[in-house]
Amino acid sequence: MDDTERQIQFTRQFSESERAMRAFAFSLVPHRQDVDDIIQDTLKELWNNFDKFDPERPFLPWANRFVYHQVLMHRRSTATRLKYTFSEETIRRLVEEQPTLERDRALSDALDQCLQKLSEDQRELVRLRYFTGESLKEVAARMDQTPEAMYKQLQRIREGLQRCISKRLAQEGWA
Amino acid sequence: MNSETRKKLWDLLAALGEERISQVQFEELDRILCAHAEARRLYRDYLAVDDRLASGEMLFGEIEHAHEPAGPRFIAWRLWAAAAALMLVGFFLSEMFHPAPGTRSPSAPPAMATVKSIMQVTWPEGQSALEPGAALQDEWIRLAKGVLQLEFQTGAQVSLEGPAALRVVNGGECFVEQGQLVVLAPAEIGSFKVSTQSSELIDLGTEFAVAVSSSGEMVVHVLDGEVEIGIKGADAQVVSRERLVEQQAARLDPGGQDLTRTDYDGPAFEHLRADTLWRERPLRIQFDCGAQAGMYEGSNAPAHAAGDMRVHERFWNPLNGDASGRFVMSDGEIAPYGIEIDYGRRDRRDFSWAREPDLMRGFAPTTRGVFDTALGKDHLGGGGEVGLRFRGLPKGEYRVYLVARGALDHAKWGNYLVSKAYKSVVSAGDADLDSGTLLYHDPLVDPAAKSWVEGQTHIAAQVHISGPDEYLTIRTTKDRARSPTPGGGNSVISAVQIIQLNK
Repeated sequence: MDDTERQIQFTRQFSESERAMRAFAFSLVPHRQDVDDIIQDTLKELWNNFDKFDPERPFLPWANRFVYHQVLMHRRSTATRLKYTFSEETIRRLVEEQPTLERDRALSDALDQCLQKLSEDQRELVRLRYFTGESLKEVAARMDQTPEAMYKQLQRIREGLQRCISKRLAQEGWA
Repeated sequence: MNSETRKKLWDLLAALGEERISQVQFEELDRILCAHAEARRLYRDYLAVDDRLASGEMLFGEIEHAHEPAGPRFIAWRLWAAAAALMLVGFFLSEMFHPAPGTRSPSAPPAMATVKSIMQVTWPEGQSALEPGAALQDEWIRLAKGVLQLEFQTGAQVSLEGPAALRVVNGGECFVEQGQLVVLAPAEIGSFKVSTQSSELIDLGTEFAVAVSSSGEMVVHVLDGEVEIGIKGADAQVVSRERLVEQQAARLDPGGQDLTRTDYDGPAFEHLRADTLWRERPLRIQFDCGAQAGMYEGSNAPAHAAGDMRVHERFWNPLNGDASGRFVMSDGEIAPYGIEIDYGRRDRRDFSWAREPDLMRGFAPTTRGVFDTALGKDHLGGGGEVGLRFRGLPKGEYRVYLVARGALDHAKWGNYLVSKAYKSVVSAGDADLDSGTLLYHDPLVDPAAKSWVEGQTHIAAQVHISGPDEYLTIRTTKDRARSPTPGGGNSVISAVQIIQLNK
């Protein structure tokens, strides 16, 4: 396989794995903006290590090693800014149990199906809260509700969504 | 995990998701996650769902145009833009000589517009800094000052000068809230539309300039060809149309009621025309041809440390032995003029520019790319002399950084090229080591040196080139007089950076 072909493979595999890489980083550093930075830095590192890229081997475990390294770097560089970080033991366990690409895809499929089960109103609320990027307070004002009521309502929807996803994943044999 | 812990976990996840989690709660979350595998699974899935919802990908189909595109849905696309920019660097080698098949993933949307170049831009608060090559979708771009050049999907070139706010609407249209811009949309690429609050301008094979003030006043000057102006009514629909031809100008008042002819002032927009911007873009050439080539890139380079190159500018120029002379401009585009390169070396007594490069492979067989180039076989045994010369550079001032081989940390000489001290000549015209001004690769005393490359030495020279016929010449040899080990050794050109300085 020549370099051009490997580069195409690299791009394709990165594209397929990016969402799972983000999820892994997010689990270790639960701040979305920080995850954006971590993934961008990871991409640079992956590219710097292109000569070690083996298209025949699973991409995600290889890439997640770089994600983890960037998370550690990030934790060091933002130690004074980040309000909270997990204990090393929790991090270790989260790293050991990182999901496979197949499970990540199954999660996406399950989410897709479970979203269809939401009522129109529930979907509208999810849309307003997540897609528009509005704050809870803004969404509450738009829906003529108090932020606290809105918070509870969203919490119930998210919980229901999560239960539906867990159930579907379990049905398909994913732990 | 019992039901009480599970309920607690749900509460904590909700608080985390809404960024209202307290330190005490976070510590509790940490304890639960540490203790229960099921909790970790739920937590991971919860965040993964959160991220997918925030990216908009799950609900995309039904709400595509429901709201202003300022939300997190665009995070994924921005990442793609970043990925594309990075890919560009790596793909450059193959792109130049073997245009590669599409490098975009099938799942990535095609860019509506691409950032071509960025000149002295200051980004206002809230605007992410864009990089050349960034792929843009339906999104706002705000500049505090400077010039941003975009190429739309249709091929139209738009130069925007800040302070400005422009929205990419689709591959053939933009909306301008404020700012000055010049649009180049030749007839063969189809029409291009610029909308403002009260008007729309449709090119009819043309180049035109638009200025929209903060009060909403719009002035259009037709630099070339013809433009149709549509005036919008109260319901934002066009109620009347008018055509302007070359060297005509019109002004629309802030309310959008009165379109009046005004004096044509095309020259005021000359600096934004695509042709002008092209001519003024500086060349930034980098060869990376040493045994340590793999580690020598990006911000680990003297030109970067000196502020002559920005971090994203890290171009490796493949020569492939045929010296085809194609080089990149500062934004990654191929220079529109050819540059000749000669490789020279001293064999026995005579130096000649007609020698063939040494075909020996590099020391590090795993090092990529550059070792397949003529310059990758860079060193010459026996302390002879090697050289590079360039012809075809546009008239101007150039700063040249020349990097030598890595060094050991010598007890007496410090960070010195223990057995490989060098001297070089960098000059315009046909200089040599006997007649030119000698430059010595001094030991690194700069405390910041370690932030470039461990153990490298370099020289920096400034050269004035009178025009494309004049050579820029670099020649290097081992400096026996200054070397602690004068016998043996190699002549080496390890890396070269040539930066055209702005006027």
